[in-house]
Amino acid sequence: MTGATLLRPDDDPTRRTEKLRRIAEALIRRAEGGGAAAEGTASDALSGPGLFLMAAAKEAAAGPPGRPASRRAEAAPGDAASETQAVLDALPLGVCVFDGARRLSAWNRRAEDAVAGAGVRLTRGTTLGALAGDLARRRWQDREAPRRLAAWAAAGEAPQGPLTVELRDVRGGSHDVRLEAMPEGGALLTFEDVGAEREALRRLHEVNETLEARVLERTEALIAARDAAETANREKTRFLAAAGHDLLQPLNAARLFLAALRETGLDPGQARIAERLGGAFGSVDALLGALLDISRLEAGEARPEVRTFPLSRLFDPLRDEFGALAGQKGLRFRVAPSAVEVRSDPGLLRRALQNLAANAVRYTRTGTVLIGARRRGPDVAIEIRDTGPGIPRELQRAVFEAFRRLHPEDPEPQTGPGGDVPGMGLGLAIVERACGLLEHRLEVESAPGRGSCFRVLVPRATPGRAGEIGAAPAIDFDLGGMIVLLAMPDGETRAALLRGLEGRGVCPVAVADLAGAVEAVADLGAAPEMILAAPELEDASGLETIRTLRAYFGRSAAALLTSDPSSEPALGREAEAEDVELLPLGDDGGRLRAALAVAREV
Amino acid sequence: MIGCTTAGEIGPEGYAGGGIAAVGLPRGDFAATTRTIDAAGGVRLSDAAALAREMQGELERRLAETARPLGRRFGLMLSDGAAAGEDALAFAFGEALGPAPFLGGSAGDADGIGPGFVLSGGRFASGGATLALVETRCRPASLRLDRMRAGEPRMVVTGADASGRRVTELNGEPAAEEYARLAGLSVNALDAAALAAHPLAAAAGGRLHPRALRGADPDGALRFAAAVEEGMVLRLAEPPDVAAELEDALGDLSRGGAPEATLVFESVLRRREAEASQAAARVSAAFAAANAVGFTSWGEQAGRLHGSGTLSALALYPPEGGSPSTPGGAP
Repeated sequence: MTGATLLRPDDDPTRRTEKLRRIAEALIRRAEGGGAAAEGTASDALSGPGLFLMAAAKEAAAGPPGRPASRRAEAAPGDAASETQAVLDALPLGVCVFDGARRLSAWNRRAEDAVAGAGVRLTRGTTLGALAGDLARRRWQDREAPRRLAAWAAAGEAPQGPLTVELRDVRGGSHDVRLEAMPEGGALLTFEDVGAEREALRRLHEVNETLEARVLERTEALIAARDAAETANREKTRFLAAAGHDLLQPLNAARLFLAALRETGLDPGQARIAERLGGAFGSVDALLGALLDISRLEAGEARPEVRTFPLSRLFDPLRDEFGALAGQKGLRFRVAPSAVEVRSDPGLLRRALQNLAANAVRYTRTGTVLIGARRRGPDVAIEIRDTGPGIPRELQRAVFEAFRRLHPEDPEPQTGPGGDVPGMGLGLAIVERACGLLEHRLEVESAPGRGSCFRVLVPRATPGRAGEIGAAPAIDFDLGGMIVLLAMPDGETRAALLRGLEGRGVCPVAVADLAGAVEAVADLGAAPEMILAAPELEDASGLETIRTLRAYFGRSAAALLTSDPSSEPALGREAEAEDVELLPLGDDGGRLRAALAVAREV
Repeated sequence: MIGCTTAGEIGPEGYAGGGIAAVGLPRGDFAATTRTIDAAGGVRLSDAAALAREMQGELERRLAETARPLGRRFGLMLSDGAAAGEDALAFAFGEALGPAPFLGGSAGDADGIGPGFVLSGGRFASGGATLALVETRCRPASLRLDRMRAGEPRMVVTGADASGRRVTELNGEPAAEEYARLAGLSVNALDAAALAAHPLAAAAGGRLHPRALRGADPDGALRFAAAVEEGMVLRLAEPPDVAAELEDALGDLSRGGAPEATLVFESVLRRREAEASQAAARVSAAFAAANAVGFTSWGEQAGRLHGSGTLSALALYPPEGGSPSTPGGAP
């Protein structure tokens, strides 16, 4: 038997102690009553159970009546006393029972073990006072606990509450010892082995302490690092703002003086120097403006004011601001007209687009910069495409960090219009912060040698009705910003088509032959949305041109333009086999518009 | 004439119910003295011993009057199983009779709930005990079946109402609940069959004795058919193999020829176990072969012991040298 069967697994410690006390009490009471029965003196004082015990003893002595014992083996013979001892030994704690005269009358193995740690042995009849005194004279880790036991025992039968102490012996054993009075003058002394428990607790406590210390240490280090970073950032922002303001005023004064100086009739040499000075001051001005912008954005001072406005309000000034500059560099610069309305803060969005456009113009040496808008779901994607050097994928995040330039050797610091910030690499940082404030998504698509496309996704003010597009694609469809490659050998036709396409907001790139087409698309860095080609170019057929471009740059929609498609059924079949449409030239562009609209939708 | 209500009878065909089991003792071979006392509130041991002495004196006076000693004695007791005086009476009469058999059964209804009624002097009364001292020419042999094979789980009676033979607490818990937990039963399913299948035993005199449960009270206490007290250690035991044990024992008693009659007091728990284990027919056959007559009891006397969950029997063999009149049982 184990003590577990006497107790329930779900007993809490208090309940457990209470039950063990009741069990011990009951056992003791019976052991004392049973003594008389065992001694064989029958008297009226014997209760039914006492008579039963005595009768059983006498019957056992007399032998079984009439018949020997059954052949069946008896599993566990025993008398009441041995049963009592068995239960005591099975209790999960040490027990010493003192009778009415406070003499030790029963105990169990665990009690022997508990006091053996201090070299004490239990003997029947020892008084509680003697045992407690003996315990108090032995060596313990804490001498106070056994002294309190001895004091309790010395108080005799004076009523007093139970006493609980922890006895820790020198061998490392530990017991919770409880001493309490029993009815009729007896006493009960229990020992609960808490050595393993205490050890586990102590270890746990140690682990907790080191863990806490480590966490604390680490947390403190992190807090310090965070505080340092925050402080540094605040200081930088404050410095930039202060420096910007303080520098702008004398700068403006300097520019005024310079303007005044130029009015004083300088000779040509002086005038040239003055002009250069003006340019230099302009650069400083633009740089300071950008620094102020970024510090304002970082300090959270700029609060976007979102409203609905037509995108053309931003696009038209962009065309004016950057067109001339791009022209000076020999770049094609196009802003596709757009009638779409968006919801944003026009000032902040303008700042972002100016910086993207300035960047595109600055870093593109040859080729084209295109600005356009196209629908994407509930948004309008404003794209700034260039044929510049491109950005390797792994650096596409880094370009948005302030003071970061990928090609520091590339552009010479120069005065730019509007938000163009020369040299310092602040442009994209401003774009990113502005888009972050506006909650506009910012995307980059780029590869080295293939140009870049920056895209800002702005919510559209009036959501389009997508269902109508398939039904009447030609009607009023927004082709704004669509990139179309036009390969036509004949200059006049080409020019006419170019104008027509531009009139619909398309961004056409016109070439005369396959070589030109390849160069132009390579500059563009991305496959055009549609290829329009004459059946025959100077160095290749129209289909060959389309095939080549598709092979190198990806699948674009494509069409051959011919004056009378119905007269060329063979070409039509050949084109159809390669998923190329055959479209008539000069039908006022109806079918062409439809084809462009379908291509854009695809 | 003495008798009692029972929880079932044992007659010439073995187990019976709803009938009357009776045994007549022919005057020629038997002499008897009987006395009925009120034992409901307990009997003092000294009073019981005095009664035994008194009845022995009366029997001897009667035998002296007829001047024909019959040679062998035995004692019988029929009592209300709810009467607390059984222990003292059994002890005193067992002690007084010495080596002569003393046996008996406690009356009760089949449910074990109500009291038993003892018939004496032409009327039934509860709380009583009727004692008989018998001298006979027939050779008597007594039998006690009370062996138990106990399991390990022990429970300590921590609360008891000794006079009512009720245990209120086991191991510091409500008794019925704790018994059910250790027996693996639901506390709501402590019916007769469950109690019979999970008997309890208590150690005394160097061995285990069955401690029959009468049932669970609504207040969560357990009612026993024999004495209980606080501090008593009870153990769950295996139910006995009733049929095999009985066939064995009655077979031994019939070795030199079947008894003329066998008085049997068998615990209701044994009968339930026999019925539950499909062994009732075998038991009935064994009883019939031994000419058994008796009843299903809520407590059995055997010598000085008032036990429960046991079988106590007395076989009577024909008088040596033959006899014109032998005892006979009738259902």
